[in-house]
Amino acid sequence: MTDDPVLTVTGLAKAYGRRVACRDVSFELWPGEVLAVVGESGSGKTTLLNCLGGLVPPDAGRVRFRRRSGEVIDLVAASEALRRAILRAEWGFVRQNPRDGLRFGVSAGANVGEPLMAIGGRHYGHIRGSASEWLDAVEIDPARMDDLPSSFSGGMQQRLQIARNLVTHPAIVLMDEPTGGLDVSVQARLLDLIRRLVREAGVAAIVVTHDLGVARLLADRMLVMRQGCVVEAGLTDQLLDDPQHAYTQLLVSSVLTV
Amino acid sequence: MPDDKTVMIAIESLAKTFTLHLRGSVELRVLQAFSMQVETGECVVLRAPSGTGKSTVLRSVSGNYRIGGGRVAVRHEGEMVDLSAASPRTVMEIRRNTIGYVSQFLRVIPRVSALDVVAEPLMARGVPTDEARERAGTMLGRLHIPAKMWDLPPATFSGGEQQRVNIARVLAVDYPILLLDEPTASLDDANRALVLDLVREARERGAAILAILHDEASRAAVATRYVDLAPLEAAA
Ligand SMILES: Nc1ncnc2c1ncn2[C@@H]1O[C@H](COP(=O)(O)OP(=O)(O)OP(=O)(O)O)[C@@H](O)[C@H]1O
Ligand SMILES: [Mg+2]
Repeated sequence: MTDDPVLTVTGLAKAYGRRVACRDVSFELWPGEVLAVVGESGSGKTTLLNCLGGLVPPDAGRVRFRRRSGEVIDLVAASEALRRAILRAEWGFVRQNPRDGLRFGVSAGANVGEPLMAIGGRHYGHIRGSASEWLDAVEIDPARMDDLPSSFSGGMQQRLQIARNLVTHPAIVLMDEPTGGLDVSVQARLLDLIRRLVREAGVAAIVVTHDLGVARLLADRMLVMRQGCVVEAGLTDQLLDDPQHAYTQLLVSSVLTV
Repeated sequence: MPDDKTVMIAIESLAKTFTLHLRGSVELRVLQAFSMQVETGECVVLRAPSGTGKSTVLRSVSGNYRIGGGRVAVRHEGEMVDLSAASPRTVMEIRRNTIGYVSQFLRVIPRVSALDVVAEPLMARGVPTDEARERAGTMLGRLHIPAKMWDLPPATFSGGEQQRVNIARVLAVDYPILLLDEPTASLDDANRALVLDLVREARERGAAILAILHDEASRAAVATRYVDLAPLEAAA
């Protein structure tokens, strides 16, 4: 564990017209740490993630990322080409809807192999070997390597997305409601898998969820967002067991047990 | 047993008030001007009527509750660290290496086996997987959790079995500080004796222990000292 954060976000802001989606969001993320972003729908969680993941340009703020080489780059100020190259090689993004995060026209194996090729992998045998290992790691039978993602269940598609995003050994992985839309038993399996893989890979993760149980299970720290602002931040269990802000108290009191 | 006593937990004028925003911002004053210390090799039992704030004290020391006022410091890697000023990351490190906290109830993690639940904190401290699982098995064995249950997630275990998994998870690691909130509450006499033996062993290896134990027999078995927490109205 190093003492320098892998990511330092300062003053991040984004508005759509006059609607403020994200206002003055600042936080740090250390290697291997899992940060949950919670809040009701429309509170700006996905906008924040999309700004970090390069899908949406923020209006203001800095996203300073410490590269594997040790170099620190502000992804907001960086050129489009550099930002894309860094995100591709050193970040992963598990999208809420597998349709946005997978390529449905190619096989499961290709979905996992492609990111390796995109960062310069050339040896077909090695790529296929890694793809097979990662399918196995996310509990998909490698014999289904040549099947199309559309033949998979929702839970399997999410697991395939996770394999596709971890195969390049990223420093940071963003996850947008990774268990949303799945039934409870499938969720439990996926959560256990994410917990294990994130820990084994030592990857830092930012997980957006409206489910406080997911946050409790996965995250070391938590940001609570409301109307685009971070209203409370801290250790996950402290925020859930001793919430200070009225909005956090409301969130915690709205669920049966977390 | 180390013979030079060292202060491990220092609580000075701890205050805690809960503000219940959803109930008209009513303020619940629970702790005020509460001070105590725990040294190495001590097992201090905190006594007070139900609802007085004993658990609140333990949770404040573990970082689970925010320090409301005053100061709580714990010795972490040789230095006294002030919890109210510590970053979340420092608190995480203190929990990983210094403080073991047995809460009254085990939070079960879906699909994670009892053995892995117990091995996890060891692995987080860098103990290799095989050794961590072996030590986890030894501890579960000492707490009479039969080996055939080790591979099962504790979700379906009885209350007493879950409580023992919870205790095994903490006592498998030689934490310098132990916070025990009613660790024997849901156990029968035989299992209670097993747990109390382990607590005594931890004390004898030099751990600083702050415990809440409601029955007199358990207290007598492990306590080196008692601290009474006065209800606020009486203290005022
Ligand atoms: N997170 C919280 N939010 C609001 N009030 C709380 C919270 N935690 C504790 N309290 C209140 O603080 C008071 C002290 O509770 P605490 O659990 O510390 O008591 P205790 O001495 O451990 O009691 P017992 O012996 O019954 O376990 C109670 O009135 C309780 O309702
Ligand atoms: Mg209590």
